[in-house]
Amino acid sequence: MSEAHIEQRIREFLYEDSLKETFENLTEQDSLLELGIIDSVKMIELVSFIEQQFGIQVDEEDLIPENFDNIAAMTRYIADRLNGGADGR
Amino acid sequence: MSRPTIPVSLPWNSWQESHDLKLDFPGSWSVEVFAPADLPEVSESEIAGHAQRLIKEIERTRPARVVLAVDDLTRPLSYRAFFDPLIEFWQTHAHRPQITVVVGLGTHGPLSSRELEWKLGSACVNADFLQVLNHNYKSEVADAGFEWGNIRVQVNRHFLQADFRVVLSTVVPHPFAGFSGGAKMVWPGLSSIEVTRRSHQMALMGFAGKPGTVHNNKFRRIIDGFLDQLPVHYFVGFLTDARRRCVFVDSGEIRGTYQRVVQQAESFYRVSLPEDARYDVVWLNAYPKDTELVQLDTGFLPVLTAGRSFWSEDAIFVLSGSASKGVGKHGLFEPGGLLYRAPRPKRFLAGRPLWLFLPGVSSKECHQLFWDQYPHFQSLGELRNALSNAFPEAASVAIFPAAAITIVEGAGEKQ
Repeated sequence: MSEAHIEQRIREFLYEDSLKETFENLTEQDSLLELGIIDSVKMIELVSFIEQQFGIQVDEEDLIPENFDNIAAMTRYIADRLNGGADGR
Repeated sequence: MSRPTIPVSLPWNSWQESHDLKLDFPGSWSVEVFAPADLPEVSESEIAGHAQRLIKEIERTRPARVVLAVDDLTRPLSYRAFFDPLIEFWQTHAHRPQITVVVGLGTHGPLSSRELEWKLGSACVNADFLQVLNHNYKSEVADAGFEWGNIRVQVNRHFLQADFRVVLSTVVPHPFAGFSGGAKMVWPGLSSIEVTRRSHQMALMGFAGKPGTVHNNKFRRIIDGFLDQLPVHYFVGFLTDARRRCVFVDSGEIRGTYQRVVQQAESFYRVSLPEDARYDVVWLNAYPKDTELVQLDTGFLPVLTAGRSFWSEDAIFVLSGSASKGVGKHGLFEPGGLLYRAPRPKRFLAGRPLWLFLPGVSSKECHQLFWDQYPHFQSLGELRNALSNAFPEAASVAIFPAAAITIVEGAGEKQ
């Protein structure tokens, strides 16, 4: 699965929310937390979406801002996991 | 003949011109008040006894530099009764170490001289043989020698350089650390803004932290682990009641002592609600964190810690606080702060109305931090009329007079 495809799916998930119009010009580097797009409740839905959509399990130690605070970080994380991950998980 | 009204007193305007706010509800309403239990106040001589224990420990270990870290006015207790005997001892002691008292502000605003005297007592603030400092997260931090995720952990340099580190904390429920104090006084209380930011990011994204419990609390586990990297040599923990009186104190090695204080705190700050209660009005008085708008969210603790809804489908939530110091200061959440976001509806209220009784701020200031569809009241009379109009016949009301330190039974069991 290409990174472009992963990014597209994440955007679709985020844009399904009522925030679509507000954040249409969201860049892949924008902080989702600082823009108010995600909070702890939305993050649970997002992680669940990622697990189902991409067939991966997000481990507890991976739940850090570096992996989930923007679309680029999430895309990299998912692509890495789909490719076996740097740590072999 | 009209029925008598139901009077309720709320503690109001912590640390400032503190007084009671008198409410009255229509006699046809049912009103229940939920606050931490009244316990006997700890005597000044008992607090002085803990200061003597610390002196003995310092005498035994003979450090060259001692630092005492204390919390700021967002925690309710004064430490005058603890510092007075320390100052008295050191004043006459020829071989005293170099002593620094530092206020662990995190990214809160600095305490004025007057506020430092409230917190520490005038003997401490005016002693010429020690320095009293507000922590400065911008200019007074140094590398602590380890990392947290992708950041280097930086800590107040006076704290870092001391060879005997003491932490004094009032332990109260906290939205993500479970309870305040202990290691949290250092991370993020005495840290750089990057550490504070990461702490709050982890919590806001739901990756670490729980309100009102330290059990299975990842944030607490992380910061307690930091104690292995940078030891704290002594800890003094206090509990407060809803009137800002000390009702428990313990001291000693940090991990064990903090655990003992939290054990007390878990039951002391917890209130039980009737099992089938469904209140029409849930009134959350953000005391004793009620003087700055940026701190008032702590007033939601009873709602966040309850394992179930205790409000009706059409309930109205009221959040009150003097906000006498205006918007206040928080490097992350004040307007323009690093994690400031345009306010939105509170998800946990699931669309229910939130009414804000915050007489110390203008509506414009109020809506910098609360969603603009939440009405702002500056007059108690207007709020009372609006509530009577919303419930013309009768209503059941749950009042939390010290909501910022109150957790609801179920907290700690909800995993």
